[in-house]
Amino acid sequence: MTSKAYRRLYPLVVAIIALVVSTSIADSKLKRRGRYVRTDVEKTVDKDSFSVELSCSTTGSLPVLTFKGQTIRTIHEVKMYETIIETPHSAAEAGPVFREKNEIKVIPGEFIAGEQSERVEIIDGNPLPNETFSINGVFTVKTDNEGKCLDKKQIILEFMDDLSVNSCTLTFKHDKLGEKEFVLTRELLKRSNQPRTVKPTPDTIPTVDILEAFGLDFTQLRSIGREGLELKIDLPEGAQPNTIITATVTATNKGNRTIGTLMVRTFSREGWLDGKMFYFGNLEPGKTMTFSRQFLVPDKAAAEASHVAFAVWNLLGRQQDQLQAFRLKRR
Amino acid sequence: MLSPKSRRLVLICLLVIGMCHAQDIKSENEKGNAEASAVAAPKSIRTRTLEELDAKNRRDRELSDIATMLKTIPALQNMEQRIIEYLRIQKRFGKLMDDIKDASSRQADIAEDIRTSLLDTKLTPQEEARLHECRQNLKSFAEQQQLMVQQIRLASRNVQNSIGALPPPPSYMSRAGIKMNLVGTMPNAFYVSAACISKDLFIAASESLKLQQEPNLPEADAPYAVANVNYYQASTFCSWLSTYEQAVYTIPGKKVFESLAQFNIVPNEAVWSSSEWQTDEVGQIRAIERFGVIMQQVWDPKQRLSSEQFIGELPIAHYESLGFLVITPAMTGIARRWQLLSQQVANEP
Repeated sequence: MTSKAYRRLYPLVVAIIALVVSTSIADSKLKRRGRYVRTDVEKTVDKDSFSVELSCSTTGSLPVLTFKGQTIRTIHEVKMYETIIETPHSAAEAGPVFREKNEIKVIPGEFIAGEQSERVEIIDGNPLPNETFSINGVFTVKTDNEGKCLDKKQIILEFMDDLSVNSCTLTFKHDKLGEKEFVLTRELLKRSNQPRTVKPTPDTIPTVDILEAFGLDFTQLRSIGREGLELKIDLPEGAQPNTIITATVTATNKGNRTIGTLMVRTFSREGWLDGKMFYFGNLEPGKTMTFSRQFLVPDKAAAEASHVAFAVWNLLGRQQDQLQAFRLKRR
Repeated sequence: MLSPKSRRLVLICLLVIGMCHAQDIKSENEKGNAEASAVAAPKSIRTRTLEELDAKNRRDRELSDIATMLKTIPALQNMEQRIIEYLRIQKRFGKLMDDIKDASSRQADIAEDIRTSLLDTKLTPQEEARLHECRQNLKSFAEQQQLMVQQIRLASRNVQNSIGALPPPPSYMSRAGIKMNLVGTMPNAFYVSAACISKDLFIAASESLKLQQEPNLPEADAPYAVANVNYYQASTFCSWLSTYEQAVYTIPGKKVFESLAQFNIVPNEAVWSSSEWQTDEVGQIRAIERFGVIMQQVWDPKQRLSSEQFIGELPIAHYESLGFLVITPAMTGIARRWQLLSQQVANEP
């Protein structure tokens, strides 16, 4: 092309460029976000996990851990808004006179994306049979065909045997399903009947009160007594090393007033016998309750015998007249 | 021949003469008796007074002898021998005091006789003077005896102090047959049993308590086995022993065990302590306080029950290798030694 042709085309190109720029500027200046319309799901991410529930066996005061599959679904959402455009009112238009200079019109079919958010849903699944979990990286438990694990060694109870500990966090871990934290509490002096167990949510760690899990009532009552308590303790005569022995405490209220917040604790020089708690809670007149604990006799137990005392406490204080002591011989 | 009137006159005269003669004889008899008594009473009083003088001189020699003896006793090396000599001296002091008491009684009688005799108006001046002399002597005897009593009391007190200043015996055998050894030096010394209380002695004490009779103590050469008892039983034994021995016997506490360890006195078995078990674990402290359980401290220097020297155990516990010692203040040993030696000296002729 000759230079003369370029000179003729030059104004046309400039005009086209100016038109495009001005149009785009006009567009951006005028389109706005309008009302909220809906929330769209951008994507969904599922992660396999598990849940743990604590309950008590029907016999023997054994904790039962029920493991169920769980899906942690993370939903990525975004809010969608109308697209609106502002145009100036024309002077020739008939009709009422508006104060605003511009007119707002919704552009149909066109939306503007707003804030992004995530929402987590927990979807309970089926029980996890024959799976192995570790507790705090120390203990290992395996579920049965129904996804339940009977804590025969009462490991769960041992975590709360120290009365100065009111709660502790247990970390359950599965090779594939990851980790799950679980707060175990023990509310000895409940002021109301409100449950302490907190259902799990995506944002909170599940909390279970061990006494509630065992179906025990530790609510503080105003009118209580302590007379009429009869305590029977079943303990084997001997304790052979490397065996498990069971102590069963049966508490009967033969009085006419509820015995409040009843507990029994073992005291012994030997660590394996000392510090085991037996929980009863409020024992109504005429009622009988039983609680059992397991004791693992260590390999290097005392040469000839071990001694243990069972001491009683209720809301009115210690009850030293109920203290019973035993001697466990080596068979 | 005399007329009847004359005869009557002669008879009357003879009668009067006879009556006068009889009166004379009577008065002469009375005078003779008085003279005899005046001569006999001063004589017996005088003799008795002389005898009192001899007795006083004997007592003076005895006291002098005792004073000489007292000077030699501190040189004796053997403490028991010293005490025996002191006790013998105390015995002699006792006899002296008895002698003085008897002498005072006799002298009082003599003084009364003198007083009675002096009332006789028919005493000769010589007799009267002798009686006064006797009275003066008696007065002198009384003063000297009073002085001697004060001297004996002071000397006896000094002897008592000398005995009290002697150190306690290094060991003694109690009435129940427990050998007790002295630990430490006065004033902080005490006695501890040489070994744990034996099973036989514990059984004897229990039987004695149960039947309320004297215990049938085991023979000295009986085979020894540690009493396998709990803390309550050990405490009951100490109560019985204190009553039986008439002295305070108790189970040692932690501070005593620390003293024993310092003196390298270490029992072969674990032993009960009268101190309550103290732990540093907060949880355990709270639990013990909450439930009102008392754990008793046990000293286990040879680690028969545990890997630690001081452990806490339930007071109802009992093991074959857990026994108990008894302790008593130093005064018990001193009193026991005194009692035995006093008996020995008292039985001497």
